[in-house]
Amino acid sequence: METRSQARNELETELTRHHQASFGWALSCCQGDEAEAADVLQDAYLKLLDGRARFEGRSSLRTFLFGVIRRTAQERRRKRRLRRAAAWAAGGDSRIGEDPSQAILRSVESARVATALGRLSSRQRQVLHLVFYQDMTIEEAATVMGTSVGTARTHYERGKKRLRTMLGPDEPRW
Amino acid sequence: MVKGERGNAMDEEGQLRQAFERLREEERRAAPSFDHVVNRRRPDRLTGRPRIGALGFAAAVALVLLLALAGPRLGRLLTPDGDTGSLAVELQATSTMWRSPTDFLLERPQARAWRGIPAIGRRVLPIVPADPAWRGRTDDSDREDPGGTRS
Repeated sequence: METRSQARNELETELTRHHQASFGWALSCCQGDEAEAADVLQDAYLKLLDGRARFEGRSSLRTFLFGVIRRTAQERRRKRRLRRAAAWAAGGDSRIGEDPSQAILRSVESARVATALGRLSSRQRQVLHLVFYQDMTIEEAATVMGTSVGTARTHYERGKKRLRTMLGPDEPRW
Repeated sequence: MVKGERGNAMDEEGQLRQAFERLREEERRAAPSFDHVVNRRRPDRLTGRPRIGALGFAAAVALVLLLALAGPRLGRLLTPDGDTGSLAVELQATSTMWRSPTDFLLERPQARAWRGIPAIGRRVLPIVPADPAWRGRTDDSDREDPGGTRS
């Protein structure tokens, strides 16, 4: 019993250590919706702490945690779509859960990057975030995204190219 | 890759890294604490249970539509004798009994002769005695006389 609570405490310590990075990743998975990112993060943490998602040491904890966050965000998106469809069929308000969340205050330059990232496909956005924001290798990013390294690399190259086009080649300071 | 191109690519990557670093700093400042995230109570926003009323109504509408569309067919399939194949048999019987309305065009006068072995001395085809008045008629005389002018 004691070892169990000890293990939980250790896990909590590890999660706290990665918390800020996890929040950034959750934000990326939720397209910048801060409240949704916090909900996703809470669900993911509870999955880990309750033992519904078990870390077996096949990758680093951070890679595993990011994978759980990505899947949780995906599940919630799917549930939200179903709920909207049901509400629409019932003639109710189909905007259930749509909350104009308060966006994070960003500088003009960061806001520009965030907007450009929002226009990329979710895969491209995710791989660029993992590589440039989280300093992961493409191999690690592929593990988090649940794709092959080749696919991740393709999304990385295409995403980088599109991002560069959107941000403009003549402006050296992004 | 030429040296200059490689330099450009590295510049681009460096600029991207800088841009992402700024973004990271700003987002980290805005991040709620770990305890706050784990222990927060959530309003019944997205995570909450779906509203039973709305979902129940949608399910009821779907059920009524399903029954209206599939009801009669379902009733025939689930006959009291439990013979679920009766509909199939009935359909098969109907399809074999069907006859084309233009079937008679395919019938030949001799067809009757081949249906069985005729008895000796029995005529298979009726022999119509020749009409002696027919010989020598023109084609026009075969036509009907609508005015009744012909005597």
